Amino acid sequence: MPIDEKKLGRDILEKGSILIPGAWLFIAYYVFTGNQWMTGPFSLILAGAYHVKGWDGRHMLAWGIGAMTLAALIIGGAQWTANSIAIAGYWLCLAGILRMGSEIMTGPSVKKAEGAGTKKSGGGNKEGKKGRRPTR
Amino acid sequence: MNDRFSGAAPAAALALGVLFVLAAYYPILAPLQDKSLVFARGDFTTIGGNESGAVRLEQTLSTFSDGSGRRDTNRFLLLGGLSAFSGWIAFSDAQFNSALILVSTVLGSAGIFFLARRFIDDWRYRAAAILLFIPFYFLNLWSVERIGHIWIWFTYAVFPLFASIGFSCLESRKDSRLVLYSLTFAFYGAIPHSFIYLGMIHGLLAAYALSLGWGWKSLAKFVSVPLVIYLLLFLPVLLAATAIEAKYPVEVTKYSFTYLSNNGEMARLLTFTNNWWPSLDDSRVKSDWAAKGSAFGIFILAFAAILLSYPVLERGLKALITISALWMMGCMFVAQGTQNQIVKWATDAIIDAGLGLLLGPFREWARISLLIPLFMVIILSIGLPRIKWRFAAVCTLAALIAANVIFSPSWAYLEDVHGAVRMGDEFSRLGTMLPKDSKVLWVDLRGKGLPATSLDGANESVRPPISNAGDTYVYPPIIRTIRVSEAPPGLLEALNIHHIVKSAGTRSDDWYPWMACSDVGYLRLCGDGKGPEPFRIYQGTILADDADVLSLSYAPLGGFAPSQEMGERAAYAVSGSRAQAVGTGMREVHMLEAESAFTGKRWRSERMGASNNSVVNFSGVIKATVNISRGGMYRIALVGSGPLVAMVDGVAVADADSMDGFSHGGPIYLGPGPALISVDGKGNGNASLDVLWLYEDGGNTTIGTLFKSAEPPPASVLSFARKSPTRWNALVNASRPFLLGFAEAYQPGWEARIIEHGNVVETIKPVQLYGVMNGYWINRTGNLEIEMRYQPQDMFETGLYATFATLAACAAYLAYAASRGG
Repeated sequence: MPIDEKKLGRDILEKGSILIPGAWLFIAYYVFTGNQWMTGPFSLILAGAYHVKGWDGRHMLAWGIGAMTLAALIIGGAQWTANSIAIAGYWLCLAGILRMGSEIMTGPSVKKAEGAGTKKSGGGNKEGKKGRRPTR
Repeated sequence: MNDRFSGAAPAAALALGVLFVLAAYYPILAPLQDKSLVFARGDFTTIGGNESGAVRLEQTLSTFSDGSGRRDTNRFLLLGGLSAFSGWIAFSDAQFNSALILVSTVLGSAGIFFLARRFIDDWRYRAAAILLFIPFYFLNLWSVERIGHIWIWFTYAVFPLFASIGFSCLESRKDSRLVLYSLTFAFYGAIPHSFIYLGMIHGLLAAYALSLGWGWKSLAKFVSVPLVIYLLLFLPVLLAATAIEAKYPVEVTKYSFTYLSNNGEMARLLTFTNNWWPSLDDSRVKSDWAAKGSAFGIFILAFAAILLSYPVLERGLKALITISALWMMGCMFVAQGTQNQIVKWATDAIIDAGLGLLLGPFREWARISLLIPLFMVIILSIGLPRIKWRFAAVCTLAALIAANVIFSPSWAYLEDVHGAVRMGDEFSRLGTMLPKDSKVLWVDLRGKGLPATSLDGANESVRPPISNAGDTYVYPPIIRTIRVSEAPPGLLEALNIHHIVKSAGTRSDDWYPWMACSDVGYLRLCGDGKGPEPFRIYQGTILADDADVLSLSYAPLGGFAPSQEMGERAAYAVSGSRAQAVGTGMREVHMLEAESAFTGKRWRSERMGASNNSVVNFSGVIKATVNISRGGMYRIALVGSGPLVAMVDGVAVADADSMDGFSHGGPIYLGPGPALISVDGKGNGNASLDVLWLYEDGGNTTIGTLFKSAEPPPASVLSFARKSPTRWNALVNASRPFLLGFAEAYQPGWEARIIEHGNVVETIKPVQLYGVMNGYWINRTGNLEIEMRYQPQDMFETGLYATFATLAACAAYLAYAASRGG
């Protein structure tokens, strides 16, 4: 199934190459100065930058997952650092999912992959179509 | 092959999952097997004894009152309600709790089964999901910790079923489903916390319906019908809450927010360890990297499921997975509490604006994380089976859940924190040795518990109540005091306490020599041989109307040595500022606690044996104003050192230089109106004052003789009867106005109703006697028929008509719909 994971990964590696090192430096600064809460708003700014660059919610979510994974890997060590990175991950995930939600409302910005919707995964339960299972 | 297993495999997975969880829950289900087991730790405490189910019913029948003076909505609504079955099922209180856990676990597992069936098409992945989600849902640390608050946990357990019924309701759009959904909402949302949780799931379903393109009319119906049915079903409770002017939620402060946000950091949230009040040793919660890492991994996998499945989801599921994720992240946002600086700014601003009451429902931030496992189940059910590498993803999930369950502190919680214990034969015997309506006091346990044995044979120390031997009154200072020191006979009689239970072989062995004691194992039961005497007549009562002045009664205090702490504690006979004309035979007394009644430069310090265990130290002059109701000759008695000089309106009346007893001074004439009391420390930096009394003089009256009365009693109690836990009757013959004491735990809702010819001619509200029980000023004479009624129960019983009518209408509609194939 041609889900665009490869494209997604390539986008992250290529388009994020400029922003991301700066982002992590920024986060690291706040981690080491103790202002952990700033990682949240900063992540939103980062997400906004992604938006300007034409990225979609999945990119932000992917970076959020990356941050959370990093936090998970160091959870046995410094709680403080893990917490800061986890907060950044949270905000990136939130920004991504919000963006994805807005895409549902305004129409998909991600190209519908071939084969999507062919699974027996149900359909919308529109007004007047009683009895149709929406989710199976 | 597929056909053969497609139905059987998920059902087998359900059975296996449930069995696994029930096996893990054995420590909390064991009472079903052994009736002698009790729950005895923290809030998860049940009443012991074979008849404890019925005792629980007795205790909780009065709305919002558990019979001990506590307003206890949670236990009333859930455990009190369950105990209503005690007439049909001879269960103990602990067995009702275990049965509740068992049933809720099965129902919740069925809910997970239905969710998986709804979202997962491939029977193999569906079976795997059911097998994984059930142990995860019930054995994650959030779930197991919350068992301690079973009135919340039992709602948590059925979240999946509730959500499943909700999805079914949205899918079918049948009114009968909506009624079923509404009834589930009402029953499991009975407790305010649970209402909020189910309300959030209801909101998720409404958002999902909106995303499906529902019209506003349909949406409004879906949103409002459950709320209307909820209100109708709970009209009795709402009416009763109004009757006692119950305040919910509790107003919060910045401090309480900060305290309750302890452990709310994001990293702890992501590892399920954000409970603000962990009951286990902290090292057991924090240090297990496998449990923490796997919890973190489950979160990451959930987000990955969203990321990777998103492109292949059709619009409905795409909307649902997005909404579920947003709801989950909303919970994560709030659950951090003030660890989240945005929340902190917002709450600080709201509290600074004096609107702290609005934040009350959210005061226990961490508990909102209870919703996260449900959202995870929905997200993973939708996402994982649809991604490209679903087999690997499900295997990863299996490994993570297995690690999380195996290494979780949940097992320790189940065994060491919540598990049932065996109290021994003495414990049960004691319950049967006491008369049914007796009031009992446990003394001299010094905060230690009683010996108990856990299921694995370990010796423990716990403190559960016993059927008939629970503490009569719970929190008031006077009770806390007499638990650790010997109380005078008059006080015990006034409180209608005729039995004492203590541990054998302690310092209290010599206490209460007038009582006959017998050993019951390691316990010692003592009694004075008298029967219950819930009604007592007080006379010569004195009252003033200053906020810090307490009204006193002669009779119960006569046996006190007033220089002792006990005497002064008992002075809390009638508290409050209820104005009452000082009549013939009454004496006006003002008692001024140094730490509360006086103003001026002073500081409080602890002093054992002092009134309230505290005194104030000062060097200059401290002052208080009292309002004299009746002019006459007054005297002063005070406990203080320094030396001190006590003055009234600038005239020196008494000196004191000892903390060991009262110093007396006066008399001095005082006219009606305010009088300024000042105590001069003479510049001595070590001046201390404990308490000062100003009282009408009857001729060289001292504190020791103040409470003696030579007058005959103004009334006598001819008979009394207990009709129900919320209704008593008494016949009283009175020759003068009198104060009637009623030894049930004080609640403002307890009314005295004077009955004449079958009609209520006067209703009298209680004042507080000794800080624990009810007293009524009755200004009538002759033969009086008096009914004591817990008034909120009237409202409650009136509201029950609405409840039964609503239930009948819902049942009739469901039956009608079923008959038509709906």
